Amino acid sequence: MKFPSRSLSLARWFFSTGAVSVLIVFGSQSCGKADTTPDTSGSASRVCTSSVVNFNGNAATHTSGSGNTLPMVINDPGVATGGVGNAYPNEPTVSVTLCSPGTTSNCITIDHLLLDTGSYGLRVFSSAISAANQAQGKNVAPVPVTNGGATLAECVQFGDGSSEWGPVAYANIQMGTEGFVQVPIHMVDSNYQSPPSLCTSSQSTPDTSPEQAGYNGILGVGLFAQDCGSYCVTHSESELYYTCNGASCYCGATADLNAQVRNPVDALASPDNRGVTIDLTSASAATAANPGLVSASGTITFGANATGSSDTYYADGSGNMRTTYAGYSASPINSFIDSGSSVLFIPPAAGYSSCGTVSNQNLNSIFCGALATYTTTNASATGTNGFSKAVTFQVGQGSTFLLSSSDNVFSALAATSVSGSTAIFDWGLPFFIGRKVHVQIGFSTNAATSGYPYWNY
Amino acid sequence: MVWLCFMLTLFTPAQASLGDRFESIENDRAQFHGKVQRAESHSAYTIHVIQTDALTLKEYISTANGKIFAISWMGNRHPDLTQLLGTYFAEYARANQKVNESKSETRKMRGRMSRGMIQAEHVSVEKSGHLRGSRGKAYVIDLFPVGVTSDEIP
Repeated sequence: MKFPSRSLSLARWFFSTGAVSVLIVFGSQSCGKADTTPDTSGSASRVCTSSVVNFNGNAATHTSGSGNTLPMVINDPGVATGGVGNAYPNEPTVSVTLCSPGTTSNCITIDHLLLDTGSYGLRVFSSAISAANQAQGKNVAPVPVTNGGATLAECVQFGDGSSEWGPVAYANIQMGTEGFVQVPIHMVDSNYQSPPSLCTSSQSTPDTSPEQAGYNGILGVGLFAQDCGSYCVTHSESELYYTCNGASCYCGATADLNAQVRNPVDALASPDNRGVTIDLTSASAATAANPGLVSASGTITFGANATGSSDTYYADGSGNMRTTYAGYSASPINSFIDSGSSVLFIPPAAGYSSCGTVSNQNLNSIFCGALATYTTTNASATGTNGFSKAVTFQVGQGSTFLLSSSDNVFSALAATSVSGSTAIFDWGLPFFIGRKVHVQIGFSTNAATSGYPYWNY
Repeated sequence: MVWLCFMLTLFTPAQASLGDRFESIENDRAQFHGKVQRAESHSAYTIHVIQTDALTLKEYISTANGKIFAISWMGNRHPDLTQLLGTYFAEYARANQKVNESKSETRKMRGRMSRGMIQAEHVSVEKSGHLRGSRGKAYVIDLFPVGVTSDEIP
């Protein structure tokens, strides 16, 4: 649950300010109105019995570097952390250098990080850091964000129903040969203290290990500088940030922008802090004869738009543009470009057919049928520059790709998204194949990226 | 203090939501620190909208029996569903647990290929979107007014 108790919520509603912690104790104990909502992941009821803490962060620091690119690979099993190969299809991954705060010498390489334009900030399994320390003979230790005896922790949920939980900690990180940036990162550990119900298996699919998740972590280089932003500076009921007092993480938390998990691109020296351009032009689109590729290599360039295209698709404050397409009555719908999605997520419409169950595998959500090309229109979000343009995408042969092929890179892999008027068109990794896509950060404290975020392609 | 106790008792109704009568909306409004912004009337149901700084929550109430048959949300994250699903939460949690157990059985089917769709015995929950732009819905088909489909939600 997001807030300590319903009685507290009402108390706050009535009085809005004042000695919150006193009211909690009073409401919970004297009145016997503590929230008894069970946390099905454990035996104890989740009751916030101490103060909600505000976490003040340290300003990010950066050093200058000698280059502005980072290589990216699809179907890289990863070896630097000593783990097993665990790549999955259409999974773009990168490596970063991770160091203890304040040092550029006590560092490890963390490989096999999902390159994700749909999230913001670096998230690494605590166990992957331990494994890399052991394999590389280091003792890198990110330093938790604290206030007094309290530690800041976070629960994030992704669009596919997965979630990640763990403490927020400072680390010094380097992407490619860029300068080092010291920012808060998310240490993923599903066993850390007491996860909120949202980040347990009762409401999500928690990432529990690199083997289970298929990556050592996620490098979020999406449209925003922080993973929450100004809302979490003032609202402890964000259901993202939590105060951990010892083993108890039952209270929400407010977190200043400097304490929130930070998109490390936003912390780079100008002008490389504008965003990223992801170049996957080396990979070719599917044909009936060659539906996929065994692997693919790409490049991430930090800085302003390097696509060569000035077509600019602005997003709204939620990170969505608009997509209109034939055969779907509720158009236009919200859409976004997300390298972390393995497929194109498309609302079901006439002309698409489900794979059903193939070889005892449930492929109901994956689209099959003959390989076909469709045309649709992407447009800037309402109230921005009004730009719109037609775009094509491929769909079909899903079961062939997934079950019969040794390939791992598929431009025509698509699955059904939520339907109805809340439908979303998610331009997943297949959209990047054969393209250059620029992700420009928005609403940043950096003057050059303080406006609306956008994509170029 | 006694007065405060009285107020808290008076204004803390029983746990309720999906499947309960519309009066339980007050609980959800309190949980999310929101305000009931407006009510939209349709032929077979009414939508109550709870608005907070970061979340728009819609509750669909059947005209026939006053029960909440669906809930949808849109905002910076997915809300905690413990209270919103009410008596349906337990079956939702069990269904979620099964999904967890079956994850990663086949290497090729790993990764982010499925939307967050959970179908329990009575309740369906769909989550989609991305960080800072999440949306979803939960509904009980058995409670739908005649002629209303899940595509209408919200």
